[in-house]
Amino acid sequence: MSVRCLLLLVLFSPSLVFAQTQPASDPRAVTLAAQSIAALTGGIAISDVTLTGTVTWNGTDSGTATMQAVGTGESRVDLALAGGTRTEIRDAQTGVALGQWMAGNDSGYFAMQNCWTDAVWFFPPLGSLSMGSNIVLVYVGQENRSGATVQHIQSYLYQSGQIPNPTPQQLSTTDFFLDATTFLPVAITFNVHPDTDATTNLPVEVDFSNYQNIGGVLVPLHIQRYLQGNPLMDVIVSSASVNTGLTLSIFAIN
Amino acid sequence: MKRSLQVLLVSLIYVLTVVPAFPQALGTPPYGSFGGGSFDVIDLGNLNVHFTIPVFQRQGRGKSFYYNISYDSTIWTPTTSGGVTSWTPAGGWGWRSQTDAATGYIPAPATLQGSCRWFDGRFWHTEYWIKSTYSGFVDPLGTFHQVRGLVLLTGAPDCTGEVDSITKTATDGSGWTVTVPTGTVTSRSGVVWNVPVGTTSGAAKITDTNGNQITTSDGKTFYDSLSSTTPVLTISGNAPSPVTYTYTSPNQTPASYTMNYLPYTVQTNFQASNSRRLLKNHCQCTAEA
Repeated sequence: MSVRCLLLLVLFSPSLVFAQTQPASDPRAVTLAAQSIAALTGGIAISDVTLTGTVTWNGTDSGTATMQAVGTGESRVDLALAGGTRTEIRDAQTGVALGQWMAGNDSGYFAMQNCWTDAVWFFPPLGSLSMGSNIVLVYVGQENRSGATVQHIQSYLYQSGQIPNPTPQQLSTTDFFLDATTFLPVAITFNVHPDTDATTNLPVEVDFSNYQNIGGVLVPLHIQRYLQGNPLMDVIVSSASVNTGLTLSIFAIN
Repeated sequence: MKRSLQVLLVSLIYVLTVVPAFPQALGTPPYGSFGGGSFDVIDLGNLNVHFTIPVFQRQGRGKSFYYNISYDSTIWTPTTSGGVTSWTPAGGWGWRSQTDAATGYIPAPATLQGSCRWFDGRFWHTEYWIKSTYSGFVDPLGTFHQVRGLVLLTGAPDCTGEVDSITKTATDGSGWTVTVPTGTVTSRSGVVWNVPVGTTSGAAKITDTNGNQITTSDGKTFYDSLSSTTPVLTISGNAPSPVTYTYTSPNQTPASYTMNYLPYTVQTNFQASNSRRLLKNHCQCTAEA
């Protein structure tokens, strides 16, 4: 490898470029995250996942959904709706988290402020619970949520340096609500932001329910995503598969 | 070796892009189409109703002092995020804050952060730069004036160079010239405003072409061109608690009056379907009422 390539590698390595003191995760949060991952995966190492099923979009349109992910940085949601198709891609192959959406003949890129939360929002084992690099976990406490007792932990992406608001920590903060008994995630919440305004928060909630054991992995067969409290995507998963060797090319952003 | 040639690469790793928050189209934007009557102004583009209530005014030497409060009716506005449009609370709805009503302000900048490296002949150095992009100026009546190119670059003088101050003119034909980060705004007529930056309240100063000034250090106490020691207006209290305005009457004695606020319920977010049938029913109900 040439010196130039080595230098580029160093420059494009986030952990080296911003190698400063990272706050330690709360041990209770780390333990809970590990228990959740263990409950979800049964110890199976998951590299990719594909979920397919039916979807209701925006409360009015319906069709089929295919949700795929590789690792924690690549995800793709394809909706074939009666009103047209919609695709959302999150991609970090270049070292920078990017996103793209396509709906019919329309398309666009996700604003950077909307690329800081988990790319794989629909399958918790490939989210921040897996404690990727620069992820900090915080234990919030035991709470009652929708009549159930849950453990509330929070994750954010650490970046050092003097950074104006909103910081990566603010933009990446995600709340996980784990069933206090089974440790399965029942909901995650985070914020997205208008394309032209990173300072306005648009709350998102993703609810997971009806976990079923598929190939040794517990998969939520009902996934509901809310935007500002309104149902945006309601997916009934009919089939799931993991470690099928998905290729990265399907996540490439054009 | 020239240092300019030693700058190798600007890293885009962990770039933080924060797009400026453009205030909603409140107030009376230039070139807008407006309706309304003698009291209110209705933006025919978005149906925002804007009106201003004079609170206090006094003729001064050169620049006169006035203090108004204004109201904008837009509560919800469609917002697009990742190709999904949803209704979002509009910033600036309702009564405008006190200092804001007197001086206007410059909204907080968007920021972009990254790192770059340069070689001094012996060692490589990493510097972290911050690019701050200001969107424009919100005038005393709440109207946003977009200004392009208000971009500062700081933190990495050896890699990217530094832009510590910049002045640009609004692109909307209003004639405002804005300098950041000092928050200096000059009107078409040459009146210079020093306004809060990144916040709607705080110290502000207005200077006319003859040097007469209206100042406030906190948005509560104002001095006009007639005196820099005796306030022309002092405001105490914060809405919705009673707000008292104290001024010097023509006979040079203190006078005051108090503005009281009452809660008023505004029903919004009807969750009405956009289907033709439901909208028709809704319109019939409205007509019958």
